[in-house]
Amino acid sequence: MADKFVICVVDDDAEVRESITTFFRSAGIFVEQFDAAEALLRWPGLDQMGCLITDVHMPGVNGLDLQRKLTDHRRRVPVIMMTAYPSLRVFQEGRLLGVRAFLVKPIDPEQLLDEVKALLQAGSNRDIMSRQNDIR
Amino acid sequence: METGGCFDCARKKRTSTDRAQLLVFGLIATLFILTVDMMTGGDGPVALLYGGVILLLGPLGRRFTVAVGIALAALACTAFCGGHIAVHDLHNSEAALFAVTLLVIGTATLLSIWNQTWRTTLAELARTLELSHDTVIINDQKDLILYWNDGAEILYGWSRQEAVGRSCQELLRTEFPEAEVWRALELRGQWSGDIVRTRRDGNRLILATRWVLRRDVDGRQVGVIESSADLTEQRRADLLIKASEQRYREIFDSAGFAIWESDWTEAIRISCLSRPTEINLRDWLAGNPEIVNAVLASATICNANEAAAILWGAASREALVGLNWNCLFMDCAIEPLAGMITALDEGATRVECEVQARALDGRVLDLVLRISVSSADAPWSNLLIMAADVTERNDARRRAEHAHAERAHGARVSMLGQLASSIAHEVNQPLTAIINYGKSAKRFLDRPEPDLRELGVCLEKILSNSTRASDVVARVRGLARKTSPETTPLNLVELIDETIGLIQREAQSHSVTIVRPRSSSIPTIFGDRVQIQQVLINLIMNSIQAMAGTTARSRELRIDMRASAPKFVEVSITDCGGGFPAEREGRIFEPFFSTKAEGMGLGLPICRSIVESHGGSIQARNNSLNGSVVTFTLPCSNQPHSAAAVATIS
Repeated sequence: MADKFVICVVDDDAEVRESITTFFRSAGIFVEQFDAAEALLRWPGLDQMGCLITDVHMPGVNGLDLQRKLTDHRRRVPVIMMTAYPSLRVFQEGRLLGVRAFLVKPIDPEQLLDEVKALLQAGSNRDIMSRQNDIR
Repeated sequence: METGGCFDCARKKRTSTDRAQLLVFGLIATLFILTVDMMTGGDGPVALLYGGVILLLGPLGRRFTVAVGIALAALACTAFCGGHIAVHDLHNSEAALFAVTLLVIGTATLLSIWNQTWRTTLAELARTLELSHDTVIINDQKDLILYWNDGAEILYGWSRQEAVGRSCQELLRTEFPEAEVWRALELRGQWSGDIVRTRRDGNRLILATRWVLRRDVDGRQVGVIESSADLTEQRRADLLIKASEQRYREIFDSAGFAIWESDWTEAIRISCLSRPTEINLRDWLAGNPEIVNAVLASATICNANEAAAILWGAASREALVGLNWNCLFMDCAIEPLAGMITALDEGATRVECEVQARALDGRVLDLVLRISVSSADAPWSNLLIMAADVTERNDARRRAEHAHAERAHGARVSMLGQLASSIAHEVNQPLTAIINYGKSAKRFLDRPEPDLRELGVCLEKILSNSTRASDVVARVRGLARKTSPETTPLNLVELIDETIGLIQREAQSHSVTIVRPRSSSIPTIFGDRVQIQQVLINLIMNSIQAMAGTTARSRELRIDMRASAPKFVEVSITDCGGGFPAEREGRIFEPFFSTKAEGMGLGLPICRSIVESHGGSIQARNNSLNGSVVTFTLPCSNQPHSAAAVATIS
């Protein structure tokens, strides 16, 4: 579990993905970015994923499906979902799948950062922060 | 064969028995004279009677006359010589008498020959009269018919035997201006004019006649010679023409639409003269509007009907006569009128054009003019122009177009409402990125050692995303704008791609994949950008909504383009969203017909009216993939709706 320190960002919109990555970088946190859920699932370093930030509405496999798949493969990690189309149904479905936090676009990146930090500290992933510091 | 006239009848009556009788009588007379002459020894004046014999035998022929003359002279000589055998017996008086006898015989012979010649000439003249088609009648002073030619027989129906000797007036019931005729005959000896006579069968005839007074050698009036020609047919034809002209005038005068006649002789001459031979008239006039003005200034109105006076706001029909075309038409009419001049020059006999005109009272009129060239000679002198006032029609059309544009705008706004969430999303994405980069920039700046490179990247990204957002706003604003339709050349491929960009988000949120296969070169189309985009969005949205019930995996929307029938481009939107209800395929373009629960059913009718007002057509049908195909066509050529156009009809 100490190996799981990578933060993954999945969003089909390049600008959103890039900007989140840049923001985390400015905060000193390195993230891996993926343009689609399928790309994440194919990633060889999937074991190292410690936290997932994903968009809900994407062509192909959407955010909720991704969570389902990860659950099926026992790769559950804390998940933050971003969405431009907030609806009760999406929230409920997400909850059932164990999604911790929903953020509505346009997202305040500071808020995102706080959520990520909170999730990491809540879990037994304190090492992530120190690992991150090591990388820097 | 009795065909002779009066002059000839004398000769024709000379049958061979008559000639034989003459001959016998002549012979007897000759013998008698000879005998007496012999008895008197050739001294008597009896030989002088030979002259009479020669004259008597004259009608038997010229050569005969000469022969007889020679023979009788010989006989006289014989008689004289027989009575005076001895030359010394000759007395002066006897010799003189003999000489006179010979002289008489010779003179008589010559006279007879001369007489024959005259008779022949007269006979030929008489034959000419016979053959003449015109009627020739000769009356005596008591109006009895003396001579009646073949023409008279045919025309009046009376034969020669029936007519000769009858009273002419009684037979033919001539109607003529008596006082005038007698006076003319008295003063000038002749009269010509028109008379009316009645044929044998009762029909009346109109004749052009010439009457000449006959006088005998003493100058006394002895009758009238007349020659007449039948005018009846010609008069009838004249009457028909007059009646036809009268009818034309009546139609012209009473027609409910404006008609006028115009003299264009001078105008056409100017238009042809001024043109240099190597340029064609159309281009020449296009480049020289002042020539067109000159042409119009020399075209005058000759005649106009009541309706034309009302159209032009003139006080009366007469007020229009003499006006030239220059003062009647607006400047913008120069082009269609130039087209009309060119068409006329090229030989068209009917031309139609739509122009703007100014009435005499200042009103502006939209007119459709129909110009006809007469097929008679000097055709340009009488151009017939009919004008229909289409001002109201054009106004109504403009109002209809305006109303249509308003409806289309309303539909667009409503469509935008439906797209609102996906439009908001389109704007949200760049906004999110801007916020992220902004906050990143702050963090980079707040570091003990600010990372300027990163800062630069952030700022660049902020700018590019701002542009992205404003593009979306601009596209949306374009759709929401309410403007009158503007026909411009459009690149259809680019327009469709832009439209796809606009609704991309919407498609994605419904998990619909939009496919636009590459197409071979698509010609430029003409149309209003906003309205065509509206059609595309409407059809795409319909398909997306239709596919809501289909399995997410297979939701595909295809947009195909191809160049179709000459000068059209065809666009097809294919989906697999279940298609239209089978019996209702034909009705989907009707207003207020909707298969959707929340639909108002106005989108497709407006699509149809937009497509059709562009000159294209739209149709929908179910396809084999359990979906529908909506196809519409748009023209590649610029077809003006209401601008003036010149059409040559023939």
